[in-house]
Amino acid sequence: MPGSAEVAASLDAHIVVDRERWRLDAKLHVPGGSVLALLGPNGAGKSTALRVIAGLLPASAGFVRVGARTWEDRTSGVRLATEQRSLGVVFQDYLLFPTMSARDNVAFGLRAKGLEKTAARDIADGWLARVDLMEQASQRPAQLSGGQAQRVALARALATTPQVLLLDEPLAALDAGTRMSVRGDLRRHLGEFGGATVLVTHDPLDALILADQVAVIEGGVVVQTGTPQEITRNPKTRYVAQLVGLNLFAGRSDGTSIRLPNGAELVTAEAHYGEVFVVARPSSISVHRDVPHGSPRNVWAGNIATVEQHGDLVRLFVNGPPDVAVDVTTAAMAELQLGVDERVWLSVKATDLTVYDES
Amino acid sequence: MTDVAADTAEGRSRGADPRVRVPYALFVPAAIGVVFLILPIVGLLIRTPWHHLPSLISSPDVRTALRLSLETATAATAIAIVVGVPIAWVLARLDFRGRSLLRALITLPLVLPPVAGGIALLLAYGRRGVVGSEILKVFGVSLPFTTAAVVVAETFVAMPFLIVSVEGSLRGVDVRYDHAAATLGASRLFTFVHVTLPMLGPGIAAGAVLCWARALGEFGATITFAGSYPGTTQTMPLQVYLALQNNPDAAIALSLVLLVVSVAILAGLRDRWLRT
Repeated sequence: MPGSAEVAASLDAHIVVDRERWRLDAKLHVPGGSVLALLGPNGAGKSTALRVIAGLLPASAGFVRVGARTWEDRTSGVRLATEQRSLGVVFQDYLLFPTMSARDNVAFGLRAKGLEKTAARDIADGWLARVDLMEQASQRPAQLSGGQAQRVALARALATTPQVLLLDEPLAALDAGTRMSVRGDLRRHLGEFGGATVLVTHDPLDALILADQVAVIEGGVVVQTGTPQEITRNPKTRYVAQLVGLNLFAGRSDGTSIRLPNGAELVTAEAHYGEVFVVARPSSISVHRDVPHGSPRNVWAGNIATVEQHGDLVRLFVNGPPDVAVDVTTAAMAELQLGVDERVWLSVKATDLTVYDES
Repeated sequence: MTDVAADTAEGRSRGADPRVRVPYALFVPAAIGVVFLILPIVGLLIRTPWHHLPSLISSPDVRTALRLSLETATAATAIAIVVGVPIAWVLARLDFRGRSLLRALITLPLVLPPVAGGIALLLAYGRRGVVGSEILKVFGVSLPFTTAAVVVAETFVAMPFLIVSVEGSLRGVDVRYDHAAATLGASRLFTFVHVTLPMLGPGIAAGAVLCWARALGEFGATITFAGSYPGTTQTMPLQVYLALQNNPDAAIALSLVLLVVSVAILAGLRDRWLRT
């Protein structure tokens, strides 16, 4: 097993891929032990960037470095083959080998590196236990559910203790219900991984929940980089604002009541304990002129800081605490006569808040 | 793949599809054709000398020829797998100039009359052949009219069946499995042996059975290139042909044995080839 210093190597890359009518040009820096999410719409070039890091596609220019080692450098002509890179990849459709059991899928990388069969299987069993799939160890991929297959793919990618972990839309193939629980599990496993992780996703929630840093890619170019909080609070372009149109809070939950660092409190429908993330969609927050009555459990007052027009919708940023983005229709805007510096009341139903355990 | 096909076949209800308009006139030529195909088999069964059968097929001559046929067909199939699977891989996975030409040349024995194939083999590997004469000079061995020549003739004629079958299977295997294996540190050969080959298993098996059946029935190339020496090159089909001239009952009995082997092959392939 490699030493911890080697595992904690950081990934530095400048990835340029030229196509006939399209160009990807992205600079990435991922410290060891952290997760970078490449967030953007389909066709933005995110998966292309992953393929370059994995060595499955040559870069047109630029470099890929991991720790002190150069994986690829177009200037000097260095280019390691994929199998020589210390990698783990979770593919969008997992690509589990259909002829092998879950155990042999996980053991494959170790076997390929020359480990003997029984030793490789023992290590694979350890990984299957970590992703809670010991009972499915001898099943073929076709017999696994989507969520189970995803966990086998993750275990397979991590079993060789790679320096870099690449995840290509790891949750896209799952249905909405499974996605939520698998996302929580994935977050825990990424937290335990010591290497550099690059996650590609078109789902802002994946990026905000799973990543330490988010790089938003649009048309082959990184338009903004920052922590999930920075990106959601201060989207630099209209595109980013629309893409990450989410309110994300970190707090401490004590049952159905979550206390945020600024003293504000949110009430949720389901009970959670410990450090959590809370997500509220801007469209789920209501704006009122007076104190609202009725069912909403979360009510607070704030001042409108900014007003942005996005087509039929108007996005308000309201200073609380908590500070939130709110989407209202232009009709409601006119009816309520809302403007900058106006004092308004906000409300959101407990059932409209989605909570994720932080660890 | 096979499982999915089987499921859908079983899930479909039998009987006429109400959307099909049946042109009844087609039934007449179809029925004539079916009778034409089945009648010879029926004739063989009717005229089989059932009460002599045990003694006919247990004679030493027959047993020798049957064993020679099984051994040479199996050896030819083994060679075809070892050489043919890599050829199929090249044809399916590599894009290069002349690929179509290469495929045409390799599959030529499928359509070439086997006698012509036998002549071609003699010209290449015979005592005075292009390669054969050199081998004779250097090693002092001559290939024609030996058991090895039977295997060579059968391999020449039967291997294209295996190549075509395996190439088709390879095209159905997503090349991204190779990528996944590479990200896990697997070399190209390790990937081929541990990922690609197991996924090709059903295709190789089906191709091998077709190849073996074709090798077992080989006549023209074998008699031309290897001759017909009892015990060394006289396989079942050759013996059937020769027996017909002086012992018709023996010829019928031997044909029945080949028929039984063929039916067994079809039964083995039914999941793959007989379901529509």
